[in-house]
Amino acid sequence: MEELLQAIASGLVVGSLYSLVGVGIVVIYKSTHVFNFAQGGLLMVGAYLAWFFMVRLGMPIWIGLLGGLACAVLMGFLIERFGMRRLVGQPILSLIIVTLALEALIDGVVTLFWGDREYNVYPEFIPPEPVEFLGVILSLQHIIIFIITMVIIGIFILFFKYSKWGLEMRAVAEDQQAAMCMGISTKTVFVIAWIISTVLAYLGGVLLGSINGVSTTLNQIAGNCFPVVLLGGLESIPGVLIAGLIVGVLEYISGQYLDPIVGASTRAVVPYFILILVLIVKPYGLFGLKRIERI
Amino acid sequence: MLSLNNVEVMFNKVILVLRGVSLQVPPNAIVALLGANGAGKTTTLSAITGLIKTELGEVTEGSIEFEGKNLIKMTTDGIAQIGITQVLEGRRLFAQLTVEENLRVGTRAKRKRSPIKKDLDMIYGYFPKLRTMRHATAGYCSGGEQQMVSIGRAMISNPKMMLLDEPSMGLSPLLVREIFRIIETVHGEMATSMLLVEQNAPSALDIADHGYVMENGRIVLDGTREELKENEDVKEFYMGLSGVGQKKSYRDVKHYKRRKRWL
Repeated sequence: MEELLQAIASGLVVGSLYSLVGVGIVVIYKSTHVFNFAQGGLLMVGAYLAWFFMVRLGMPIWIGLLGGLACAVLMGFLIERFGMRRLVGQPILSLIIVTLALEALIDGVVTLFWGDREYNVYPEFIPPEPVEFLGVILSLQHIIIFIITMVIIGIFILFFKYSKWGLEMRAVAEDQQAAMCMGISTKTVFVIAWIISTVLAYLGGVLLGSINGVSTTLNQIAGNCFPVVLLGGLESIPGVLIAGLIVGVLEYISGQYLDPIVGASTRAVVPYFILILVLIVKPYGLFGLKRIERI
Repeated sequence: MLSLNNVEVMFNKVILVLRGVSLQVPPNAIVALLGANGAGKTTTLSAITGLIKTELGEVTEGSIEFEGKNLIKMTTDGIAQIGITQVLEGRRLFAQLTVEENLRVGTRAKRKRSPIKKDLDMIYGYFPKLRTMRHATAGYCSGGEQQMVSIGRAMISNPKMMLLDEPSMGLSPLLVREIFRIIETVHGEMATSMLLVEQNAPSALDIADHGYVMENGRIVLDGTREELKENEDVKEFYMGLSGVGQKKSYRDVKHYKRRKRWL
C-alpha cells in the first residue's frame, strides 16, 4: 500500500511537469495550429541555460534564474520572428517541419557546447528535506514543484477563459482572417504564444533539472509530453493537466509493479500505450474540441 | 470618405481580378455594390481591408484612400483600428467561442474607451435575441443568429465604416428583411457608412443611397438608388423584372447580347 502511495505521489510530481510543458505545446497549437515538436529541445536548452548562468558563470541563484528566463523570452521571440513568420500562409505542415528542424538544431547545439553525457546539478534552490505525509515520505522539493506547476497551469486556464488576450488568442486560432478584420494583430498573438511556450519549457526544464540533474536525457523525458498533449486533446489546458497527471502516475505504478515482472523498464512504453487505447475510443482526446460543422 | 481610384488587383502575380475599379463612399451613406458571382465584389472589399495580402493578392495599380490615409500599405488589423471593419462573407464566426465572447473579440478595434458592458448592451439593444443566447456556442447557432453575431461583433467597436459582404446569404426572406432593417437602423443611429455587397439587388437597393454594378472586375454602371431602380438592364438582370404585362419572348431571355454592351 505504501509502495502504491509512494508511486502515486512521485507520479503526480513528474506528471505535473509533463502538464506544464504540455501547456506550452497547447498554447502554440491553440493560436497557430502548429504542433511544436521542438518543445523537448526548448526544455533542455532552458535547463542548460539556467545551469550555465548559475554554475558556469557562478551567478547568484535568483539572478541566474532570471537570466535564463530572459533568454527563454528572447528565444521565443526569435523563433517566431525569423522562423515562423516567414512561413505564414504556407501549408501548416511546413511550419511543423520547421519545429522538427528546430529540435534537431537545438539538440546539436547543446551537445556541441555543453557536451554529451555530462551530468550536472544545480545549486540547491529548493530545499530537498524529507516530509512525511499520510505515511508517504516525500521531499519538500517535490511538493513545492507540484504546487508551482499547479499554480502556473491554473493561471493559464483563467487567462484563456477570461482575459482579453486569451480570448483573442482563441479567436485567432479559429479564423485568422476574421480576427484580423476585428483589429487583432495576428503577429502579436503569434509572438506572445511562442514566448509563453518557451517560458513554460524553460520553467519545466529548470524544475525537472532540479530533480533529475541537467543532461541531454532531459530531451527524452520531455518526449513524454507529446502523448500527454494528444491524450488531453491538443486544445484543452485542463485536459493536458489531467492527462499529464494520469500519465505520470501510471508511469510510476508500472515502474513499481510491472518492471519486476517484465524484467525491463516499462516506463517509456506506458504513456504511448495509454495514448493508443484512449484515441481508439475518443479520437479527439479526453477533452479535445469537437469540430463544429454546419450541414 | 473612402475612395478607390482605378484599382487593379492581381493574384499570384498573373491573375488580374479587378481591372480599374473606382468608387466613392461618402460620409454617412449606404453604398451598394451589386454584381453576379465572380464579378469581383468580395475582392474589392478585401482590397480595401488588405485581406488580399493573405491570399497572395496585391494592389498593382491605383489608390485606396480613407480620410486621406493610404490604405494599401496598411495591415488589415491596422485598418480595423482606424475604423473600417469588414463583415466577411459566410459569417465566419469563431465557432468554439460563445456568442458573447465573439462580440467581445470585436472590441479590440474600439477607438474610444468605454466599459465593455455598455458596448454589449448596445449590441443586445439592436439584437435582443442575442442577449438570451449569449452563453451559447456560436457554432451551434442558426444562420440568422450567426449573421447577427457577425454584424454585431463588427459594429461593437463603433466603426466609421462597415463593409458588409452578402449579409443575406443563406437566409430566409423574412430574416433577410430583418437583417436589412437592422442595418438601416444602425446606419441611422450610429451614422456609420456602409459599403454593402449584395446579390440580392432589390433588398440592397431599398436601403442604399447609391449603387455600383460590377461585372468582370469592372464597374459597368453606377447611379443613385432611383436611377438604378429605373434602369432597364438592372431591372432585368438583377431584379428579375421585365416590362409589365408584356409577353416574354425567348429573345429577351438571351441576356448575353445586351450584356455585351457593358463590357
